[in-house]
Formats: sequence, structure tokens, C-alpha cells
Amino acid sequence: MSGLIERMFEPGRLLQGALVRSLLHSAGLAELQPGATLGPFRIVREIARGGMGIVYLACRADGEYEQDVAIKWLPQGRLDTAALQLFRHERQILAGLRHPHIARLLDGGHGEDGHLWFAMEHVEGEAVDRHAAAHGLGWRECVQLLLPVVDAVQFAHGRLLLHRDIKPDNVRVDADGRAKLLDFGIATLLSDTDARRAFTPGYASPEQLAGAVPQVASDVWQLGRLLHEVLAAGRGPAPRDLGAIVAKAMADDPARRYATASALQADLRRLLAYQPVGARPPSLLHRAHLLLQAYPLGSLAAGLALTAFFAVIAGFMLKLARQRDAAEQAREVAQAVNRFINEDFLPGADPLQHGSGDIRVAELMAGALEKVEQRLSGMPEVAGEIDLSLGRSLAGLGRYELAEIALGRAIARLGEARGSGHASVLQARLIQSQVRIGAQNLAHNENDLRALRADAAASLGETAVLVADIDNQIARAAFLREEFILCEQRFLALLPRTAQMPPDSRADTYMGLSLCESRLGHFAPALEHAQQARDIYIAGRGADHPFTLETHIAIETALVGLGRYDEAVTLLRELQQQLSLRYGAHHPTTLTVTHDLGFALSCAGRAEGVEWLRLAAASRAQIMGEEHPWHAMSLAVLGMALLRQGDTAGAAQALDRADAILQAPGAATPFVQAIVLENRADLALAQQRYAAAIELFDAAIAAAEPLYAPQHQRLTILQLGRGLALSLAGRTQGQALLAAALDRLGDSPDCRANQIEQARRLLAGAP
Amino acid sequence: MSQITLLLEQAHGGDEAAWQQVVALLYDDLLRLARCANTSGKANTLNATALVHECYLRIAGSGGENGIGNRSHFLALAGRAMRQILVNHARDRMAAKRGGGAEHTTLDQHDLAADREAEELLGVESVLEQLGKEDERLVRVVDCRIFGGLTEVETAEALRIPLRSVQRLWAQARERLQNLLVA
Repeated sequence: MSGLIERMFEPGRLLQGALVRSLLHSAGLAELQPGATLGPFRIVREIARGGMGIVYLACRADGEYEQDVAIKWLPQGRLDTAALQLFRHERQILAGLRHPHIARLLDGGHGEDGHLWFAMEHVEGEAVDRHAAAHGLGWRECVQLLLPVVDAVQFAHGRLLLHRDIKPDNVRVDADGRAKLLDFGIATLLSDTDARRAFTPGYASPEQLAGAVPQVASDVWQLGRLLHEVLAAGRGPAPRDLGAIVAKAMADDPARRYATASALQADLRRLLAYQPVGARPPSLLHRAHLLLQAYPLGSLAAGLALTAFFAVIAGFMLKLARQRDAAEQAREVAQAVNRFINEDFLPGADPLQHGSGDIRVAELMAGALEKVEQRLSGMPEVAGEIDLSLGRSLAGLGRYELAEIALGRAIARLGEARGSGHASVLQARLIQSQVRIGAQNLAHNENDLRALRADAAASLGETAVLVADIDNQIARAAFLREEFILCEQRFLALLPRTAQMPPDSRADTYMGLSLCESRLGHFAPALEHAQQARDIYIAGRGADHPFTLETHIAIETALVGLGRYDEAVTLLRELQQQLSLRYGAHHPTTLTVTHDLGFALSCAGRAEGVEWLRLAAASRAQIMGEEHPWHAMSLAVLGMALLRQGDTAGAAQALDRADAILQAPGAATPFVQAIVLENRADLALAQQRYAAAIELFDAAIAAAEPLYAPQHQRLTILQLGRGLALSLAGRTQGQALLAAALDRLGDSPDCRANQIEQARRLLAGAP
Repeated sequence: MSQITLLLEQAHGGDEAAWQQVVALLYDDLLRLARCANTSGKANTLNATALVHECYLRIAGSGGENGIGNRSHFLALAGRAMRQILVNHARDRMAAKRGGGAEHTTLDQHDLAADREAEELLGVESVLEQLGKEDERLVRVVDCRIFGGLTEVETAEALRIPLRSVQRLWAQARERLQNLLVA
């Protein structure tokens, strides 16, 4: 807005400034004297005056009860009957608008001379921008202070009410440090033409300035402006993501703003959790930077960032973060949690001084766990919420024992305070069962989950999101036990319910289904479902989000299964690079992709695969331990790749090491077992030890049969291998086996193309 | 002759008391008209030209045939009245701000903008005072052009001076005022 002097020289614009407006409003507005009464209120004194009128402090004068109110005395003249009716109606709606962060409208009416007045809850405190300046608030504190205000606006929008005049002066911070939004809907109460112009210069959205009727988008714009002002008043620079959020909220074109206040709120929450925000699709470097911030800082966000990836280690995600998102936390409680975290918990963390972030984080959380006892023993509900948050994060960090303690306490405390059927209690139980999966206490888990499901369905209803999440978890439990047929059945049964699920739960179902389908050799639907999950995550969380990247892993798996090795290699190279940049080359998830890249390259007949597999095997040993079955898995596939290169000695060595790992008690998983056996059989075949090969193929088939559906290509390939061994050993039934296997295979590609080729030549009578 | 016409004649003749009465009389009218224009729902309809002309029509109309005989004369004075009204308001604001104490926290950003404009206007006013000492006609031209929203031709008519003089005086005054912007 240009100044008065500049405007003077533009024809017809002199009178369009704030000064003239203030003149027009102040003129003719009779002042109220202390002691005067308006309805049940008696004027105490003037608090402020401005463009919209005069504000008085008043108290209830009818002896009903003591109450201080702020009375807004407006210069508007009399209303006609229709307008008056509308005014009363609106006033009634506004009086019903109850939110802890909205100063409530209590009453309103006409003075004797026709002036309008409103009485509202008096909030003693300074304007939020002055508060931010006086207390030197950092950006994080500013956002935390304003989040409830955004929520308040969303709350009102849900009731079809607009504020229309959101600005720092309308947001006051009370003695408890809570921001309250004043003047809600006052603009709406003015007659239509007045209301259209009832905004404050500098705080009006472009379309308001143009005289359009305000919409939700105008309030969103003003929220952006509010954020901007408060951040400017506070201390220090704000991150670029926050700048992007403000810019998106304040986009000139309403269609390019956040569609709702809650979308803005969600982005702000993501920002606080160091997650990428929708306003700014993150670059890799930026994402890495975010992670660097999130990981060692030890905010609960660390749990968020790590959770999904921990899960991939186990072959599938636990999605604890998901539940965090979904958790319904009472607002005050959440704030107490935040305060606890910021004041008691985070100050102990010095992010950049300590290299091994996760250990430090876990120590901090363990410390925090004790502090919950000391500090919050008188507030069981708050303590319960914090226990729940800590439990979730500790679980994400792999600290299962501590997580169990925290979750156990959360269940007890929240159960007592809110009842055992409360969503937060059920939520804690779900995480607890996930923790047990993480700790590999798989045996008891499914019973726990079933009991939890029954309780959740009873308390929340069959259609509750939490129930769908529990069902997803039950299906996932089958996956983790490597019961892929059961897993597929369970996820397939969930498919018809996806229409009612929120996007994240829906993607969860698709992902789980895709992984199980892949393991069963149903690669075409596996690819399709993984792509569906990918699309959901890209839309909701962005192309670079960890969950989106996970779906790429599922897609890559399906591509390999379909024999589309070149496509898989391209995707894997990209993923490997992305993940290395983001999490380091030795991160378990990066290693999963490194392993798969080596496998796909080897299947494509490229020698380079050996190097990737060596890297995967060595790093897995280092990160997960020599005894880990996934180490054995990489060794077995390395054996296959070496054999492909003609290095039988190297292959033998790798397979012996894999075997040794699987011999250790309790270490074996049938899936890895079958793969090691198959590769050992291949090696024996290549070494022309046909008797041993036949034995090994028999063992491999026995191990694989329970894992795969009868027509699975893996089984066909094993039969083909067995046929080769038999034929080469001079046994007559070999040829028939080969013919049947080749017939079943048809044109389907397979990684063992060399064996297929060998079988064809044998059948054709060639040497 | 209506009261206002009389007062206008007297004011034009240099009677300060008559001038203050003209301002007082015009004050309510100008404000009422301005408020109407401001809340008529059409964006940015409030401009000095329309306001002053409308004000003239009302006063002239109310006086019937014996209303204000000299329209251009009235318009010149109305511009001056408009300036006086705005300056008075700006002074009130500044006084309230200085004397208001801590209790009178400003209500909103709107107020800050109005305060800023009030200061600017008082800056303009002091330049005009200075200009008035050099050549009274410079101020009259500014009143017509800026605060009355009159065209150069209307201004020449209202002030009864040649168009070319108006153009020269206007250029001169404008330059002085625009220096304020740079300062």
C-alpha cells in the first residue's frame, strides 16, 4: 500500500487510505463513559480504539456472576429488520463457537442510538507479534504458539464460519502463554456491504482488496500473513520450508493456497517434525539436511524418520510413524507434551556434538522416561500421553525394552484416566504389539493383536481407522512369519475395505499385499499394487518421502520377478544413490537396495552385480551382525553371481559361509534357507557333483514348497534344476521333468536363464 | 442567499471566522457522503472529485435557485475544507497518540497505517505553509487539484486565474511536495 503522499498525485486515490477511514469511523461515534451499561454489562474503562471502533473493558452488572468482558463498540448505524434478524442469527451461531483458542462471543446488541456492540471473553495479554518480540521467540516457538490458532480457524471453518480479519492484533497471548483468537466472525456480523470491506489494510487478501466476498481461502491467506508477521517479530531466521509454507498460504491465486486451514496445519506439523512439507517439494540434498536435523536432535521426529526404515530391515515396515500421525491427542495434553519435550528433554541434546545420534537419542529418551515419573506424577493423563510418545519413538529407535516399559505405563495411565476402550489406549496396545514384532516375539503377537482387534471393534466400531490398521498389522504378522499365502489372503480380504480407509492405511494394505504377492510369485498384481501405494504416497507425502521410496523397493522387486531386469536396474541405481545420500551407504535400507541391485545386475548377466553383492554382504555383516539371516541371504546370492561368472571356488566359499550362519540355532528363516539350498544345488550341478545336486535340489524343493503356491515359478525352476541334475546323472526321469518344467515356464523370463538354455539344449539332443 | 453561500463569500474575502464555519458546515456533509461512498459496496469509489461535486450538488440543491451561485468557487473552497478536515483529524490522532499513555494501545495495523498517514499529511501541511508564504496561489492550486480533485481547467475557473498559470503553479507545488517523498 503506497503512502499518502504518493497517492496524492494519483487522481481520485487520496481518500482511499487508512487516515480517511479512521476519520470516517471516529467521527460520529459517541463514546461510552465508565459506569454506562450495555445489556447486562457495565463499562469499566476504555482499553483501545481504532479503525473498527472503541474497545471497553466491562464487567457483568446484573449480579449473576463475576465476569470481565471486552466490549467492542462499533460505529455502524441502525440496521433494518431483515439485517437485524440476520445479525441475531449469526450472533447465536458465534456464541456457540467454543474452542479453547477462540475468545468467545458472549453477547451483542444495539446501543440506544443504534450503534452495534459485542461483548466477548476478555483476554488479558499482548498481541501475538509483540509477545513474540518481547520474548524473543524462535521460529519453532512461533509456530507452536500459532498452531492452535490455525486449529481454531479450522474448527470454525468446519462450522461454516469465517473470521475475515485475522491479524496479530486479533491474536492475544494470555498469562498461560496460550494464543487466543479474538473477534471471530465480527466481520460477518456487519451488514454485507460493510463486511466485505471489514478488513484491515495490509491484512486483506488480494481478493478481499478487489472487493470479492471472502472465502475460506481469504482466512488461509490471513493465517499466512499472521505467521509472517509473528515470525518477523520473533527472533532469528526461519527455515526455508517455513518461508515456503507462508508463501503458499499467501499465494495471490486462491486456488494455489492451502485448500483448508487443516492442510496448512498439517504442513506446519510436518515442519516441526523435520519432515518435508507439501509447500516445498524437497530436493535430495534438502531432504538429507532435514534428516540430519531430525536424526541427532532427538526430537520425537527422529522416531518418525527412522521408523519406516527400521521396518524395512525386517523385510517390512512397522509404520509406527503412521500411528503417531493418526493418534488423536487432546490439544492441551499435546501442548503439555511439547513443553515437556522442549523444556525437559531437548535442552539436553546437543545435536552436532555427538556423532552417534541414535544412541544419544535413546539415552535422552530413557532419561526422559524417568523425568515423566518425577515431573508429571500428578497428571496421569499427560504423563500417559508422554509415555505413549516416548514408547513410539523408542520403538522406532529399536529400543524395545524401554519402549515396552513406556507403553506399558501409557496403557495403565491412559486406561485409568480415559477408560480401556479409549482410542489412545488401543493405540498404545497396537504399538506394543508392533514392538513385539520388532523384538521378534512373534509367537504371542497374533493373539495380542486379535484381542486388541476385538476391543477396538467393540469400542470404536468395525469401521474405525484403528481397526483397519490393526487388520493391516495382523496381515503383516503373517508376512513376518513368512506365511505368504496367509498374508496374501489377509490383505486381499482387506482390499474391499480400502475405499473407506484413509490414504495412508490404504497404501499400507496395497504395500503389504504387493510384498506378499511378490514372494508368492504373483508379480503382475504385485507390481500393480506397489504402484498404487506409490501413487497414494506421492500424492499425500511427496515423491521423496521415505514411504514413497519404500514403494519403489516393492516395485523393483516385482520388476525383477517379471524378468524386467533392465528396468529394475535403472530404478535400483537411482534408489541406491538416493538412499546412500540420505542415510549413508551402510544404512540397512540402502543395503536392501544394494543387494537387490547386485541381484538384478547378475540376472541381467552383468558382472558388475558381483561387486554390489559383495558390498551388501560385507555391510550387512557389519551393521546387522555376522549371524543375521540377511547376511546369509547376500552371501547366497553372491554365490549365485560368482557361479554365473564361472568362479566356482568363490561361490563355494560364499555358500559355505551362508550355510554356517543358517546352522546356528534359531537363526534360520525358511525363505533364506530355501535360497541358500537352491544356490548350493546350482553349485553342485556346476561342479558336476550330480548326486549331491539331486539331494540338494530335493532339500531346496522341500524347503520352498511350503513358501510358494504350487504353480510358483521358483518351484518350476527348482524342478528344472532337479531335472538337469537327474538327466546329467543319466537318470531317465530327468528328461520328462525338464519337458514339464519348460512347458510350465513358457516364455517367462527367469534369473536362471542359463539353466533354462541348458535344459532346452539337452532336450534337443545337443551336448 | 443561503447561509453557506454567504459564508463562502465571506471566507473568500478572507474572513477566518467565516471560513471555520464553512468547514464546520461542510464537515458533516463531506463525512456523510464519504461514508456512503465508502460503504456502498463498490470498491474504491471514494474519491475527492466525486465527493466534492456531490457535496456541491446537495448544498446547491438544498438552497434551490438561491443556492450557491458559483459552483467553481464552491469547489475550490470545498477542497480547502477537505484538507482542513483531514489535517484536524491527523492532529487529533497524533495528540491522542502522545497523550494516550500505555493504556491506549493501538487497536490494529489499520491504526498504524493511519498514524503513518497522519504524520505524512502533517508533513504536507508544513510544506504548504511554507509555500503559502512564497505564493498563496500555490496552496490554492494544491487544494483544488489534490483535496478537491479538480482538473486543471476547473482549478483555473475556480481560482479565476489563467490555465497556464495553474499549470505552472501546479508543477511548482508538485515538485516541492514530491521532494517530501525523497526526503
